[in-house]
Amino acid sequence: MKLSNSFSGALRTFTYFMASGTHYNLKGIDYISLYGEEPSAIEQVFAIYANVIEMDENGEVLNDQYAQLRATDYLKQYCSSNFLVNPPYEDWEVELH
Amino acid sequence: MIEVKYFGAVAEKTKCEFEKLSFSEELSLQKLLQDLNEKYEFEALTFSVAVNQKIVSKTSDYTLQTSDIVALLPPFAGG
Amino acid sequence: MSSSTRYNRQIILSDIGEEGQQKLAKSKVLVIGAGGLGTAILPYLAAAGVGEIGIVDHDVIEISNLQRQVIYKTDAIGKSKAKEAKATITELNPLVKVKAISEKLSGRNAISLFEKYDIIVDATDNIAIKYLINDACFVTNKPMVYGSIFRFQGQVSVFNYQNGPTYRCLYPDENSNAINCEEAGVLGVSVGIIGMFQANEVLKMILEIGEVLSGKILVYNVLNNEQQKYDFEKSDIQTITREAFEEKYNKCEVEEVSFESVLNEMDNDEVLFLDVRNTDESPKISLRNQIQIPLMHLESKLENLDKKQTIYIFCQSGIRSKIAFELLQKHQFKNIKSIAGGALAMKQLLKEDKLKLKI
Repeated sequence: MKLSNSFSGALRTFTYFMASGTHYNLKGIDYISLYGEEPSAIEQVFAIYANVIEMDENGEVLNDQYAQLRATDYLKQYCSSNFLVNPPYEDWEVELH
Repeated sequence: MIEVKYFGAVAEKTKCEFEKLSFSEELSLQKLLQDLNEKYEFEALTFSVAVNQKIVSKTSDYTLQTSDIVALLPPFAGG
Repeated sequence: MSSSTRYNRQIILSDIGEEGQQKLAKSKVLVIGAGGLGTAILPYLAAAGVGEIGIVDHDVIEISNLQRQVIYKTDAIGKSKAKEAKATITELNPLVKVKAISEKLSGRNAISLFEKYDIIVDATDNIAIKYLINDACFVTNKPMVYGSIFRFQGQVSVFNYQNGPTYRCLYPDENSNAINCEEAGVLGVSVGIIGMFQANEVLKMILEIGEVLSGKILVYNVLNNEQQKYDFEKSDIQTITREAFEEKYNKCEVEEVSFESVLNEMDNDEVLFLDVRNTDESPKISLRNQIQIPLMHLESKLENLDKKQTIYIFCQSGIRSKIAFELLQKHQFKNIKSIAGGALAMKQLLKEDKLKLKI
């Protein structure tokens, strides 16, 4: 079975803002430098996004904004000296399958 | 008929210090600037615009009258 | 050599008199730039009896300056402009207190300098500095006497005079690529004439005579002696607060070093290597004088670090260590550097180093 159009749209929108350096939750953070330099940090972001996102039985994405928030909060914590993700990540959110 | 005066680096692009231009209908300052930009390719040149010895801050809102004198004033840097 | 004899020719002007001379003696003027404009302005301010004059210029005299910077002598080539200008105008009028500041004007010294003077004269040769001067004048509430040249034309105005319009009200677009005399060329007299206009504005303001060019820009053409004056208004959006000034001009400059250059300090007890990666990251680096504090906990663990110690900060690739650098600098850590390339670069070098030692 293929992924739904709804998921496709959600993923490509998230990817756009990750690639542009202008994601609203990462204002003031130069995360673009991590591309190429620390790919595992970027990998973790997308892993969280993919683990957290949910769809209904028709493939409609239910929590795109929340998934983006959990995913980008990882980078925010990674690159900041005074930010801790709240609530802290549970194992299933950050698991690398 | 309106007169346009050029200063500094702007005058170097236009290769003249002033010129007289005639227009048949009401002319907006914005249109005049667009036409001049097309004609002389000002591109990246920055300048302020004055009409009748007064700098106009919002060129988009201004309509010119006959015998108005427009001046294009770029900042100078030398010292 | 009494002052009344020296200044007699201006004191007898009814608009000036002894009262005017007193105003001059009490005034403090800072001239930024001792080049073409500055060297025209300075002697006239000193001659008129301005009480205190500051000269800011970090440059030295070059032979091509002598074509228009007429107070300098040929045998002073190579010497500091600020110091030579001070020497000249002090000889002209020893009654004036002159300070030579051979520093570059920047966001770090502008405000503290401007606060010590009444009037700031812009005798500079680039646009970026004019915006800095404008902003610092706005923050310190001082008038800015502006002058500039382009070949045979010049501009003069007085900005921020009694809350009047500023340079930004006239030229709000900071992205100008206007060229200076070195690139465009200039005749000595052109720059002298505009300098005279500027000195004139300074004296008018101090003596409170005539009409100051506030909210007006004078454009002069030396080839046809035509002058134009254009009025412009104050713009409410072109203001700047002290905080915004600091934010704009004093952004933190991260100091980076290569691990190669600090390799020989690896065993130095006076030095600390700070790893700001998370504890689960690899490759593991274990240097003798090393501590690991993950970046996200760093702010709360700063008391574990000695502010006077030399600290080399590293992370995985040199990105997070820069953020750590900014944090430490904000907390007054002085001897800090960020290691470029981070642990990835360090591991490589440490491997090579080990191999070298084995041989």
